[in-house]
Amino acid sequence: MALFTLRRLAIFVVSLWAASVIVFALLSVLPGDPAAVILGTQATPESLASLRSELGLDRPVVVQYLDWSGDLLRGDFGTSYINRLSIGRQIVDRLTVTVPLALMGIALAVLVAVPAGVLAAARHRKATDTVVSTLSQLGLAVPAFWAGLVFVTFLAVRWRIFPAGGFPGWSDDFLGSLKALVLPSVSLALVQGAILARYVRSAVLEVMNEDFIRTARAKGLTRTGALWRHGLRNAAIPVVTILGLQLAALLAGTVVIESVFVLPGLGNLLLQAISRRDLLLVQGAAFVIAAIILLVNLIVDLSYPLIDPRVRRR
Amino acid sequence: MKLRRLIALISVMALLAAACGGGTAASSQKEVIIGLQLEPPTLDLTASPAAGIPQVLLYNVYEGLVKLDEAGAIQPLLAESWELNDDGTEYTFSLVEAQFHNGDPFTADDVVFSINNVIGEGSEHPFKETLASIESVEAVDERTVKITLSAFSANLLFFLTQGQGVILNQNAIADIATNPDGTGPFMFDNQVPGDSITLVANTDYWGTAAPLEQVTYRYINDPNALNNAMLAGDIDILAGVSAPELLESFQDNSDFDVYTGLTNGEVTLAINGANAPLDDLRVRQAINTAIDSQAIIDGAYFGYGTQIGSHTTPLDPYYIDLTDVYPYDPDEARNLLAEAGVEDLTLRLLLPPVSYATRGGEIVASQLEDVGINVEISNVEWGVWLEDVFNGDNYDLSIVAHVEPRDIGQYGNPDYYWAYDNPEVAAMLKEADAEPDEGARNDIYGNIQREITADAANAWLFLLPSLSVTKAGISGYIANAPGLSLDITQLAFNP
Repeated sequence: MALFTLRRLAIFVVSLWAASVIVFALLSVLPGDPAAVILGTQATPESLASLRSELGLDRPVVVQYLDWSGDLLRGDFGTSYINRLSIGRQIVDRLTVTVPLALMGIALAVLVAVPAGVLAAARHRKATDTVVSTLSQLGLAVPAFWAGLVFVTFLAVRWRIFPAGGFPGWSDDFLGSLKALVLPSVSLALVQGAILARYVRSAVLEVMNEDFIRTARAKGLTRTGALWRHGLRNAAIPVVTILGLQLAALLAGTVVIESVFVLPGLGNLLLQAISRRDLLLVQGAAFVIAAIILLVNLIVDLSYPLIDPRVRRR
Repeated sequence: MKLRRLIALISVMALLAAACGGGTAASSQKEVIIGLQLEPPTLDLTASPAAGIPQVLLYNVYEGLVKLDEAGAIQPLLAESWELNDDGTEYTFSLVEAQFHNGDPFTADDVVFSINNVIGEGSEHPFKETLASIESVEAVDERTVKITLSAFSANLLFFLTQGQGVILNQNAIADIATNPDGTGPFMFDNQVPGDSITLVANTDYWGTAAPLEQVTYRYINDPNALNNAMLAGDIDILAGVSAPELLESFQDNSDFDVYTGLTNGEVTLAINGANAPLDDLRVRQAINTAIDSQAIIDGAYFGYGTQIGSHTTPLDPYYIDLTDVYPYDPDEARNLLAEAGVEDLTLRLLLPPVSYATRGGEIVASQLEDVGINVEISNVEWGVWLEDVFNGDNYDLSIVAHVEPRDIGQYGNPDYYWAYDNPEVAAMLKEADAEPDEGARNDIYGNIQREITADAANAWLFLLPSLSVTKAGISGYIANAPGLSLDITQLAFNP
């Protein structure tokens, strides 16, 4: 068990380092001179040269990387050259929107999809199964942003139950902030829930065909009893894996939903920073997103032995 | 059934959440929420040329010696009056009594500091060049400032109405990017990056106080979301509609007022005059005659927008109408191309990521193909546009709105990205700027416009309109945008 944990942690650290190299390398090959974008149409050769040296863009790439990653190790993301605000601070501010949004989305998806998937598997080839399968098919077909637009059109513009977008801030208006996240998280949960329900259903169905279920039935357990006592825990491993991937995708990929609902989240920050060529901010935000994904994967990996003792011996 | 119970549970939760909140838009009649598209990248207008900064801060938080009114005329602000000496090299400004938001008094020293901050050695002010005619500035006494020019410049007063002319508090300069301090009727309150900026009324304002107590600017990048926020009542004013097709939802609705005004944004089909065969006048004229600008206004901007025939707008004091110089005539365009001996011409059209350019570009391409010019369209991002078009000459044609006011002077700069090189025009531009008499000056500017249009330096597609929507009952909204400020000092709710 200790060895398992240690190995996972080592993989996490190495991946984190690799992520920092990739993020840095990708940004240095991005077309468009950052200094030119910042100065825009008012640039002169002198001001461009002086800004390049202020940004440190005139130094060798390796030196730029070592400088940046060194600061990163000390937890210092630096200061944006565009708005002179602390990058670490900006990222944390945006995470207070994106993390609750992703968690609410995934929680809603789990609340609906897990019972629905289990139910469909338990009533395999009965009406319930068909209904769940059809609904999940439908959820898969509807893009989250489109669902979001429909919600806005009816619930915000027509009936004015929810705001059309925006985020008042947790400390200013807690309930208002929660309310602002309802429609976006429901939009996200629709798609993620549909995917999850399908996985839960097939995972449970697969487990129900295993030998140990037949043994349990032979001992006299009903099909439902066997499902509850032996099936669910065994079906949990693939579902947890999918859940981890979904959570990572939501944390990194709420850009479109954030844009539909005008939420100041991490995706929005990244998008804005790219268009302004705020290199340090893009680097910092991309690295944080990579780190979050790696962290979620690590947690998923570490949860396997808790769910399934057999993993500990591997 | 479990599923049904769950659905019921979710509906109840949603309803609860709905019940917890109250109204969303400003409740008091003294507060207004303005929805804008482009968030300023920083609040420091001495460091960045971004138009989003003066849009919020100019005339509202910061004031200059002079300001630009709705019609584009220059009016006194922190200078109650000024005099120009006989040879046009010395301005003497008499200042009003005022104070900065932090309580510091406004004096002639602040004017000296602010102007030197732009023109001084080592300054990296983005608009440093526009004040280059100033040789020195001195405080005669506490309420009088003298600006000495190397030579008279007609555009100087105009530039002093913009961001480069604002008077900064030298004691608060360290915090300029996070807490701008000026003398204006509104004080900076706070900024939530990625979301909003809030201003509150300055209760100690030296002039007539603004009717509003608080103004919040909310930044909504997506035009559809901006539109929805207006329809849902989340914002009171939608300033600068960039998606004119969305205006229809407000047009016949008595809850809203729709404003269409003029801007300084000449949507220009830039022609790279350095590339053969675009260095041939007949080819450039062919392009101009091949283009039906009304079709572009209709297709790219849903009929909003004004035809223009040169690089000026009706907000410029010297504007003349030249829209009849190149009437739409595809046959004439084909003749001109044949005369120039051009066959199988393929031009590369680079389009920046703005809807007027991407939509307009498609129409321009089909109109040019109609007269036998092949067009290769590349949609590029701003960084690439700056590199290939603006700072390089790796393009034949491009479409962009030149939003800077009074920017006809660029036709005197042969190094500018469209590589227009006519020494006569350059000389006339110098002459016009040095001419103190307004009538004579406007005549010279008239000739300049005729000349660049005759040279078909570019093709001017249309003038970008300023489209805005307000809730019915809001008064004092300024539809025209002659400068970069969104002037909210007269904005009020009518009872």
